[in-house]
Amino acid sequence: MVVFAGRAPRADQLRGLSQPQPVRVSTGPSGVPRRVQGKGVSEKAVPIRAVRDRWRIDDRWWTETPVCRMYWEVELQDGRVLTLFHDRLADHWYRQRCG
Amino acid sequence: MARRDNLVSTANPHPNPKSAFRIPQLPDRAAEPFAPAWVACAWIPRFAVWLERQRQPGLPAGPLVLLGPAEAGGKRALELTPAVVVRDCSHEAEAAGIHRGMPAATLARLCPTAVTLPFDMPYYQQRHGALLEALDAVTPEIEAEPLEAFYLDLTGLPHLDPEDPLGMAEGVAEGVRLACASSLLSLPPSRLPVRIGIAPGKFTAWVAAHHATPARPVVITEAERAAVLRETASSLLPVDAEMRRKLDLLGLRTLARIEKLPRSAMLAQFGRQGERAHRLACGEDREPLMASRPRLVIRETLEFGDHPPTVAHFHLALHTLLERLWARPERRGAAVRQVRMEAPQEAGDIWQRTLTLRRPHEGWLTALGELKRRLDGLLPTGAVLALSMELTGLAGRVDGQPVLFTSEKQLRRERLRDALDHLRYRQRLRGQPPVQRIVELDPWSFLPEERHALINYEA
Repeated sequence: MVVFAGRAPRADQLRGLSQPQPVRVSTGPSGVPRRVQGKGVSEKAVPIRAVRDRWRIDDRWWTETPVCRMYWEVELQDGRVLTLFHDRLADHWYRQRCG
Repeated sequence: MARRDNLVSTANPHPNPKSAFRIPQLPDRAAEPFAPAWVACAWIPRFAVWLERQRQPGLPAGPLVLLGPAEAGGKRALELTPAVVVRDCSHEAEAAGIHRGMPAATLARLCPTAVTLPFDMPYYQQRHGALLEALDAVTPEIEAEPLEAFYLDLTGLPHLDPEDPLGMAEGVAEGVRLACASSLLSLPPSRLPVRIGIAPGKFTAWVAAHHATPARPVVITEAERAAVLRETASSLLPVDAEMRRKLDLLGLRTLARIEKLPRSAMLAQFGRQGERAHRLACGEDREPLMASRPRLVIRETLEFGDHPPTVAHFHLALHTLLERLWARPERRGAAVRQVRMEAPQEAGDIWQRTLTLRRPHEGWLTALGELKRRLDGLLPTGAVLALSMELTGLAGRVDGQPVLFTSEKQLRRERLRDALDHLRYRQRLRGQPPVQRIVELDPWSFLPEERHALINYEA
């Protein structure tokens, strides 16, 4: 149940959480991410040690702005765990906090 | 002292050579139903100077002068910037020719060695209020005359027997001294310069107090009153400084001289206060006491022991003291508007802060939040031995209807609001909201960026 606080928040006052951050990812032959670099990760490409999970999201395919993402939960060489996704329509890679 | 000898020498068939107490003749109460039968005057001469010496024990023993803006009501009341004058001074300073009301500029010429301090009226008033509250233990009917005199109505007190003047005077004196000692920094009663005068009338009790010493109260009976008043200096009359000056210029320096004048002449010359002065000089001292309502002060103290407290300990002490003060039954559920803290330090000085809260607080947790925030950067720098806290400003009610059952959620929200104020104060942020809260947009969305958003906490 969501308690109504008495005032509805205005859209221009909202700041979205978990916004995707663009990163550069080099992939292997089958599209599996191998290295990642970008803001919030590292200036230099960091090797990916393992892929912990992967899933796909297809949404709004009935609209003019469909979403088709391939998510990868990866473990970097230095031990950090990141969630990356590949926007399959735009062919761009992003990092995103998922929680 | 001659005047005191006069008091002892008459009317008592069994005089006690060690005291000046007399067997009183009870006045006729039916003649003046509103005047108290017996009034005790507790007079603390140079109260402000005495307080400063207690507050700063390191002050040199020589002349001490308290300087402050001239009181309103005099000739300087219309000036935009009040002149700095002597508001109080020690005996040594007075011996050098300094007196109250004198311009500060004359100090350098008359007494160049005098130590000067600012006249800290809020502090003296606070101590005066604490005294008034403590004297409530003696009698509930008290008239306080700032800053040095208290008049106590002794009529009908079960523990004071009018037939035993010696016991009555000693009982009052002891009660007053203990009350004073309990409220004023817990000093030994012997150090309090309280002079007690007891008489069947307010002005006569005031005169009696001037004949008393801190160790020896004085009682003036109805039979002795006329003789004592005749020898009394007119400077003791409760008149303004201008009339006092005129009386001096006219040579009316004793009440006997005033008594001989026609009352109409006094009325014509000085107006209502002239008529009143004549009445008092004639011994017609039946003015009722204007009872001052003592301001409620609740006090708690916490000692820190051998180890000086850290900031965390100090905050914990604030927490404990506030919790204790709030639980005191005297508060009677009133909201608190002002908190006074006092902490003696190892070096001998005393850290003091009086904080008037931004709004009356009904809960101690919210008051604690504001106290911590306001004290940020103002905590004592030396090793603190103890911390005393007083709730001095108790508000009868607060704006808005109080919540009967305060929920944990409401308490949390109040704490958050206080913490938010704290952040804003510390970061000096203006306009920019320092804290945001998370709101749910579409928690079941497949896309993480559409599930939650941040918004200004106060939006």
